[in-house]
Amino acid sequence: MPETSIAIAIMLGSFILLLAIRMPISFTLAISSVLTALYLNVPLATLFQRMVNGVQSFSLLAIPFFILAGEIMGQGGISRRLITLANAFVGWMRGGLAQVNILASMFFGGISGSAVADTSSIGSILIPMMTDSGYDKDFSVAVTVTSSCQGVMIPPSHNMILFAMAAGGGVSIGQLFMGGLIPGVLLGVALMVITAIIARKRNYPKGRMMSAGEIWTAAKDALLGLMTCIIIVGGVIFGWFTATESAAVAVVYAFIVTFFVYREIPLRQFGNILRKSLRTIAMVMALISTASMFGWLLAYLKIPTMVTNLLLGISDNKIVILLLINAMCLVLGCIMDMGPLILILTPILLPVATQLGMAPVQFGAMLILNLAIGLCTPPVGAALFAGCSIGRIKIEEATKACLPFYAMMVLVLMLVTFFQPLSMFVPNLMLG
Amino acid sequence: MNLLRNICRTLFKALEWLAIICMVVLTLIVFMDVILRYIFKQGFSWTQEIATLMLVWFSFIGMAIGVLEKIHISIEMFTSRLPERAIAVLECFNHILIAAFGGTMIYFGAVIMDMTKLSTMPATKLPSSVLYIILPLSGILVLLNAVLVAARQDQKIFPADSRGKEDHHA
Repeated sequence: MPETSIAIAIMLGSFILLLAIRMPISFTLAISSVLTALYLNVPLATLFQRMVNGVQSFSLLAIPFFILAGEIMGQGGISRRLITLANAFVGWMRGGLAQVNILASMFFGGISGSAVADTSSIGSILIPMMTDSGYDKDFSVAVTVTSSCQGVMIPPSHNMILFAMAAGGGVSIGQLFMGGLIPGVLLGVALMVITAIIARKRNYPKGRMMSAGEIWTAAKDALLGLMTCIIIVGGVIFGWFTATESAAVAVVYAFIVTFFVYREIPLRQFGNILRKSLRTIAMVMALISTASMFGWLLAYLKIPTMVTNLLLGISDNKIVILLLINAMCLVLGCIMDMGPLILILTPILLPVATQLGMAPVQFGAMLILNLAIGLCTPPVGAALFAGCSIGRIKIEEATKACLPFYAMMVLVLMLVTFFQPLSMFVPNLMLG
Repeated sequence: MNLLRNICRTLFKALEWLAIICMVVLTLIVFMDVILRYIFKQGFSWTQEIATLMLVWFSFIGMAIGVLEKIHISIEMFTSRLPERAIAVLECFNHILIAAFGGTMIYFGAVIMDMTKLSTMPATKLPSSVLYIILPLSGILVLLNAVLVAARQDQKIFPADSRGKEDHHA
């Protein structure tokens, strides 16, 4: 089949070349698809129809809604409240502020699925506070950046919806959401453990123990914000509404809480929030649309089957193949952003995982955790960049301070990969 | 030239508002549907279709606006050591390619509209061209915006300081 090989060469060749010369990823996907389709002589109208149909999905609507709800809550003073609440719980520990940082990110993850939003809103409050209290700057940045990755695991996470889309719609978004819950919390716990060890060694300060009354006040204040998460997760688990509907309800709720209850920002700020969200959403939707052109051609060329055969030809040992997949994704995650990678890799790698007997939900949790690590690694890491610009330190310094945290993240990744109940326990509860 | 810039600026603002209004209306439609379903035990039959249609519309408008504002992420690590002039050349080359892609969107959008001119959407009975017309329309915008960037006119229409300096990562 020389024709197929040439087509694959054109597709991959133009893809890599265009990416290397700074072509935006979304247009890279589109243009290499068009070139390949031209060579293969498949009707281009079909390809362009895919471009429209790729975003014409009711489930996908949840993505703009989640981004909007997260943006409204993030700007409306919720971060400060979440930090106060976290402080009431863990501020008394050695290295208290670092622990607060991690726990606040866990709470924030229940509102927004974006690691960058988490880094910038929690980090801009806590990084200055930590350095003023005597924490090393690189350590403060490292804690902020790595803990922000909990957000992409803890529901709601729009990346999980991207995965569900790329998987071809056969995976339940509700189950995927729940599949990320334990791994996300576990990631937080792992980061808290290593933080405790480092804090003891460097003798970082600790805060004071809060009284039950203070904890209650902090909880009451943050509860309204945390309700967003409860609406979404509860609504989806108990089947009150679909993920998309829960997201729309969350937007309206976030709007009311921010502008009529918290009232920290004036209503006219809403225009800016909308404009900012529109840009984030446009970028994600453009990727989904063009990735569905690319994905259609991948399937047309039967590339997923080829990759499955290739990987299963290397070894028939499940552990070896899963390690291989993880290693490959970690490397790709270092150079590319998470969203496009989910869209490109899922259709190729999911069949391999299914062949190995892995449930799609577990594979989703594994892939997304894996790619989340890439958000805080150089040379391209969105959360790392955001953290370094807030802390005003060099990427190299922050990366060095991140090393022990990377180790913990990889450890959790291995647990999620090889210990099925971590990701499947909660989704199975939902079924039964 | 100044008139042309003003027209561009106005058009751009209008499109931005159209996309934002789509987003707000979309949220309200889906929200109302949930409420009505719980109060009157039945929702609208057309919500999903209209909501999805609006999603497609604002995604494509957003994509086109994004070309001018350069919100679409790219990988910079392989070219970060190149001199500024070389990067400017690459950027121009890339945007010419994007403009060409915009052209194919216009052409094949028209082809698809012709192919589907007799079909209607299942719930609302709207003609399918309501959906597919967004391809040629946004194609025109992608083409126009990419040409503006390639000709380095984008800075003149939208001075850098008027654009938000926020990051747009997902």
